[in-house]
Amino acid sequence: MGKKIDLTNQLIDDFIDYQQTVRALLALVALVVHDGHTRRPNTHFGFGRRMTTSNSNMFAPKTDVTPDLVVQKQSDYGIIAEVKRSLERDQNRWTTILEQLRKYDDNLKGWWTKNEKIQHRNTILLLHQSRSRTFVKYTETVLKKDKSLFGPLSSIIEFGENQERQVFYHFRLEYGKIDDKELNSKLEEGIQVPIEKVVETLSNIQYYDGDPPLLLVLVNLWSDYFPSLIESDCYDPESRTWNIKASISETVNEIQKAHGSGALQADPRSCQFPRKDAIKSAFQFLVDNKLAQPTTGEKNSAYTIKYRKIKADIKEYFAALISKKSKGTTDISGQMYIPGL
Amino acid sequence: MMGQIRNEREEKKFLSFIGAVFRLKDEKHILNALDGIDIPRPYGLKIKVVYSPNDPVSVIESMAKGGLIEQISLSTHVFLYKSKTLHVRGIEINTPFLVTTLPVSEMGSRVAAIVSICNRDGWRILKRLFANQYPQIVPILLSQHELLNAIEELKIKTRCDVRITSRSAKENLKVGKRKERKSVREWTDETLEEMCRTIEERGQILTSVDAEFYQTIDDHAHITPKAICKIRKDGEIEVSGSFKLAYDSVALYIASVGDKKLRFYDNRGLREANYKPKPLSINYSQPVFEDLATVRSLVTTLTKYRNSMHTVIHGNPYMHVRITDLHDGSSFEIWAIPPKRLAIVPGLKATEAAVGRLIHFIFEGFREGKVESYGEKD
Repeated sequence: MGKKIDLTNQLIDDFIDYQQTVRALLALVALVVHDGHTRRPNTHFGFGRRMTTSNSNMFAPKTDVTPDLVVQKQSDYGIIAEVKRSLERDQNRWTTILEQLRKYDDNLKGWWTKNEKIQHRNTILLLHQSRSRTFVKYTETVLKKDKSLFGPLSSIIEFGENQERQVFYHFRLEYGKIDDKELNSKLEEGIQVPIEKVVETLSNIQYYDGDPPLLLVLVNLWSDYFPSLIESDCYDPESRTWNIKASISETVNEIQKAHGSGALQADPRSCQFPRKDAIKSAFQFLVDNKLAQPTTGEKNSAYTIKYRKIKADIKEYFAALISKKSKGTTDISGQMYIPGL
Repeated sequence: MMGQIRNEREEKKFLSFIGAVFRLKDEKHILNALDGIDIPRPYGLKIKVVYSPNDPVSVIESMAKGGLIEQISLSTHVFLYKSKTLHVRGIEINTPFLVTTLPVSEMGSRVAAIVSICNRDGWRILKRLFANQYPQIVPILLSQHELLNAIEELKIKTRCDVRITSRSAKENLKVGKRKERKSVREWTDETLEEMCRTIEERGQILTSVDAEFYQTIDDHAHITPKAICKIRKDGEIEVSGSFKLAYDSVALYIASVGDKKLRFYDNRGLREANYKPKPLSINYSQPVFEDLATVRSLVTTLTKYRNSMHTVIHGNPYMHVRITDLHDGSSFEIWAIPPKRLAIVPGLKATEAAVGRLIHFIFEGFREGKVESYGEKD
């Protein structure tokens, strides 16, 4: 039997984790594509980009894979990154992370070059600072038994949020090596990317390829998307609600354009996020809690949102509502949570 | 000059006269007549400068078509608002007013002045009428800096000696062990420069200023003011004496500042901006976010924003708050990261009125700064 913790707090932690992961990925992008003053020419990046493995791939030959981040610094160098915001408590399950990394350490096809391949590359595992050392020790132990589990171009980079006077994301190379000399020297010493730079350039990005927590989707819908659909004649003074018409497909489409994949460079290899399922779950939750109702007789998953003012902090309100539905506690025996993330 | 109405008969006679003024054949004649009128207390000549994303005159005309107000003449934009006063036993009151477009931009008319002669009750119900038209009719909200500039503008135009006779402000006062922000009204007799020093020393945030303008010749000032003006931060002017002076300088200045500002805030929402973020920043000359208590106080202030919802995503040591304006569904993310800058990132919808209201609230409840597009050099 695992330890029970307060679900409301856990939901809020997950909410913050996800947002900080998005910003950490954006900060890493900034580190690669910017030279400190301007964006380098011919740089590209994509979240969850569909890449194709080679015939000789150790775990999945000739298969499509979707790493969290693909970022190309120049026409002959790029980085594949996978970010882990939490690690499972059971270390025996950590091998899947190494296997995933090994799968990406390959001559993948899908880069922004003529033949979609790239001459020089690295594959990195981006881990929060609180767990990076433990994972590096684990990796060293595993490699003593089987060296092939860690690719020749792979490395582990820790990241964290420095919350002193100035807020930075810091990155430091913890294991392996980066082929690009400039990046290697910066990452070996440890480098800080000011969070304000991320806000300045990519302030609208709120999602990455990873599935967003229900709480995050609900908060974004309630505080940004639904109110933007308010019409002057949709207020019902009796129930003190606005009856807002919304459909899942239109919501997915606009959220992707404004805060997800549509706000980034797109081509046939780009993936779409947040996915329809995440939005659909949020709508279902609202229906279950009488905050929305399906519009009968209409196709295309149309709903009437019973929109009303939430006096409390919206995030805390929905966290408490989800928690109440789940009876307030959860079993976290399988998860190791990263404090402060 | 400026007597007082002594009885009902006089009031009836005066109201009849005012009715005649507003029924003059065109706007020019009405404005000329208003310039020479001596208005007895408790009546006053009031001006409110308003903005509309569409033409404000046509918005007000559509209010007349909808039966909310009555258009007195088809050749002028003069209207009559009949309503009960806001007291428990409200009495029927008729308030005539003129709407005149203020020519401050070549990009079409978005600002207008609402001009009326009425008593306090009449003005209150008229203001409520227009407040209910938000966001079709938007008040022009001035910063303290702009309010002081409006007085300076009048001073330069009239070449008069300016005396400040009273001011309303918000000030942090000690109540027991705690400091609370209180509204204060103080009567004084000082120059504009003296008042600026006083408000800076006491950390006051002005709400309105009453100023008297004395004609001067070779540094000798007249004993009777040429004009008396009360200017409020919500774009209202109350005039005694020369209406033309107040209209040509203060009203036009407020209109020009408001129009420029609201056009700058326009098209910031992601949907309108084709999903390209257009963040704004409030820049401060001194570092203000180095102190954690200041960051926390801003978070507390933002959670008290009227008719809104909030979520505090991060409150310590930096601030990240999302605000949803329930007047029109606009939303914003507000970040305080570097010590001298506050970032305002508009969400899917962000009307110019909502941007202006939020910035005004931050100026009033926290502190004033310089608004620029985020990333612009100071």
